[in-house]
Amino acid sequence: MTIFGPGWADLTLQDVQSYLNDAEDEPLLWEAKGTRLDKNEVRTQVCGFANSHEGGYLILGADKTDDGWKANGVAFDGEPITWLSDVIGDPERGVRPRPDFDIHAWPADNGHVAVIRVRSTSTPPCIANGTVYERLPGKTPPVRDPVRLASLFGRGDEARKLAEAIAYRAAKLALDAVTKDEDTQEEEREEGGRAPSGPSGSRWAWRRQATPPTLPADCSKTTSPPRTGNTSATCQTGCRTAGARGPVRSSGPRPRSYGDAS
Amino acid sequence: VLRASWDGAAAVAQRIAKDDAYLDDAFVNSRVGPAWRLADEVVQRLKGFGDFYVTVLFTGGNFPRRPGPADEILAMRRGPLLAGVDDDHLASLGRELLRSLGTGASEP
Repeated sequence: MTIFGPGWADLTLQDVQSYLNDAEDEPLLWEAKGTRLDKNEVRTQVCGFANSHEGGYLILGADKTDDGWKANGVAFDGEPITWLSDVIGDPERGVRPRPDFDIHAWPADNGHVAVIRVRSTSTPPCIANGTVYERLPGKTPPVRDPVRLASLFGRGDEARKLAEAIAYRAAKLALDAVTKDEDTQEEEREEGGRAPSGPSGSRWAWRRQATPPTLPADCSKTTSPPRTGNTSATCQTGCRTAGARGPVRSSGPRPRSYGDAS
Repeated sequence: VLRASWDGAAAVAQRIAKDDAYLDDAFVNSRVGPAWRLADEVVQRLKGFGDFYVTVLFTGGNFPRRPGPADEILAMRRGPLLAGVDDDHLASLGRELLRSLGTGASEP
């Protein structure tokens, strides 16, 4: 769902105009720009929404008249979606880190109407035009309060730590799964009376030697994994939170990282 | 093993017989790369968004140049990244892995 009513994928210009018919001044979640397109202004608004907790919608081509908001369109310098993507993602002056955004555009009387949906960045602060902006009701000013800036950085750091912890945990669980799966197969083979062979056989031979018979029965749970197989796990996370949850503390010792991260 | 969880993480793990694991420059391209691509596809299909973080864990094997405990886990991390598999980062992971196992790997 969107603030306009229908879902984002089904949004139409009529939905936008219908929403604007009942709208008053621009609140926290949307901003409209009507008569002139300014690249820096677009970046500023996107940056502000990205630094907010809920994101927002930037409507281009809608202006407030005596009769209320009218989505009559504005002339874009080229195809609207491409132009806007280039403006926001500009490697030098664009919004960084690039927030998650999507664009709809429709032809209108004076050109096109475009709506940019900006999601809250998971790792604030976003910066645009060399400045950090924040969204307040009706405006998007630069962040001038050091405490507010520190809060944004803190939220970003927390989200990064959380995402890294989630990625490590997911990879470790997958790694454990392949190890246990292999162990189960080996146990079944041994119980079936067949002699193990190859690397797996040597692994079990090593394990039997390494496990003293006087250890408790559940000791096998803590037996080290084999050295004769190579196991790798890759995990990728899409960081979905904006640090809404508390910091994650690792339940075990932090793994060593080898080599230089070139 | 492919594992996805509600928190936006997807993980792919594989066990490789020692005889099949040649730890050279091509290892990450042939083993880690496909796993990363699969995990990335799953995250995107589940509508994951925002920055992406990648963790690669590696354990097992005999590496005379870096003897260590049998249960030692090599952890390599990258992020924040954009969605998709970045070949430069993949190559970087390969160099890091080789160096961590005692083999030299020069910068491109």
